Amino acid sequence: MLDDLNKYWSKWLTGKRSSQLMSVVLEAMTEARQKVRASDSPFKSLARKCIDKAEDSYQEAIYHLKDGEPQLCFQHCKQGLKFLSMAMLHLSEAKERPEQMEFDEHSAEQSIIDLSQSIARFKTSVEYTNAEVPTDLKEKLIVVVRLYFESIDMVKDGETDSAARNAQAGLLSMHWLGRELEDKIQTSVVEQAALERCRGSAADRIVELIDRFSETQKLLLEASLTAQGRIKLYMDAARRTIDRCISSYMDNDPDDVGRLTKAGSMELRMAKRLIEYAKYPGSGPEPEDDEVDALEDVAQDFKAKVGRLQRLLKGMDEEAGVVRRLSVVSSYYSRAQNLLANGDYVEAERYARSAHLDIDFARQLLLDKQATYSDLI
Amino acid sequence: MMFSDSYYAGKMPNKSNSKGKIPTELKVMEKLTLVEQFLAKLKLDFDTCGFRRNRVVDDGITRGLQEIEEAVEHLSNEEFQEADVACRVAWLHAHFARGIFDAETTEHYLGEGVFLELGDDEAIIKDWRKFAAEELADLQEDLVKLRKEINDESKKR
Repeated sequence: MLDDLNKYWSKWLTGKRSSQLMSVVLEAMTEARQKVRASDSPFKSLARKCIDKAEDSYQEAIYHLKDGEPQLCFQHCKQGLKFLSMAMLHLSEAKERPEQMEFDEHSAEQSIIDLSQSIARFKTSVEYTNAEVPTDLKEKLIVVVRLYFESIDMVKDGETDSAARNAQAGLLSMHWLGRELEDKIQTSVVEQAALERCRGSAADRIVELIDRFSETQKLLLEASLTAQGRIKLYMDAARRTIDRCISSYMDNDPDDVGRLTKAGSMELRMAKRLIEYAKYPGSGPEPEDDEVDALEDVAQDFKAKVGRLQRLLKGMDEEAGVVRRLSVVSSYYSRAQNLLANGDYVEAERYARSAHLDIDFARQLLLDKQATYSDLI
Repeated sequence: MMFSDSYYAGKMPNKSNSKGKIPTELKVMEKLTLVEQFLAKLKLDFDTCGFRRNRVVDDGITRGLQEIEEAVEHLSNEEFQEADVACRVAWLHAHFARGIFDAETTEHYLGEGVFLELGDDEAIIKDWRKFAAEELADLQEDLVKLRKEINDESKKR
């Protein structure tokens, strides 16, 4: 009996509150419409849309009140008031409105905004100078744009650390693209400030390597030489190393970045020595390949290829199985390499075969949607 | 008067990010109106620009508007954290689209109408599976080489 009374009381109270709130909404709606009529805000149409939505909520509230559902009526009234508040915000004076959304300086969002500006600046420089952008640079730019969208998706999924790293890797790529473009159009494109927020020892080393690459490229141009033979070999190797540095940065592997930047510096030093030798051939003996083991670092190349493929497939939800299968392949490959170097051929073959089986499995999964481990491998 | 002007006079107050505190309803509403206005201006400029429609800009506007819809939905359900994320994501899409649109406008007025594309070719999008299969075949080839090398070395012993 007491329970029944309580329920009845609560329903009556909510009903009464709902009716009162409905009057408030109605009054606010009338006031908002008057304000829209009198306003000269450029966003009147947005305000009007909000008021229309508030009116829809108000209608819903009436239906629920009629159906004896005062709580739902109450909720719709509150919703209507929210829309009216937004309408008022749209009508507020221009000087009271901020023009940009601001983010914490070290947030993922700020890194993404920096990347957005960097891409736009690059595009503006190209459009403004009518520069011919070579195909490989265009492809790299498209990869960076893809990184931009991936970073946004990561923010949406709450993976802010990965989003920040992704965006910063994009910024490093843009720094490189900017330097490459500067070489071609002889105009300043790179803005150092864009990288201010992603400064850290790993990022700094990569930037330094990119700048050294660009200097070496200039040296080559000044000497009126074309990159060929051994010079080309070292320049191409350094280029690949920079790519790998950025991939390792994205994988949050600072040790690898350290190792690779060192290798890249050696490759560039060698290229520089060869350029100087080509300029003054009689000045001494031809430099020998004494420093550059890094050129042979095939395991890192393999890892970079797998990483690139994983990133491509991550965007396609249905390919999660393939991505999972690829996750162990790089480590199997490098173990097999190490075992081979140490003369443990049986174990080396075991790891190499495992990697081979997994790659084959992934390929079947990608193409046929089903897979089995092959006995023939 | 229900809506005093001073109530809305505050500037976009605290900076925020995805790791911040749960935002208040008013702050989310302020962000939502800001990004709605930013997108409305961009859409107007884009629709009336009179030159080609860039797909990246078009997509940015569409995605931004979708996020706004999502933010409104969350706001109605009093899910302020989720609404805040949707507002930020909408802003990121809108910001990029604006930057690209402005760059294209530069080319339209000063250049020869030869635009630098930022999106994948339709052909590449359609063929991503083929591209991935080729990459896998390439990796498989590396493994075949490695196994041959292991085999050759073991025979030498």
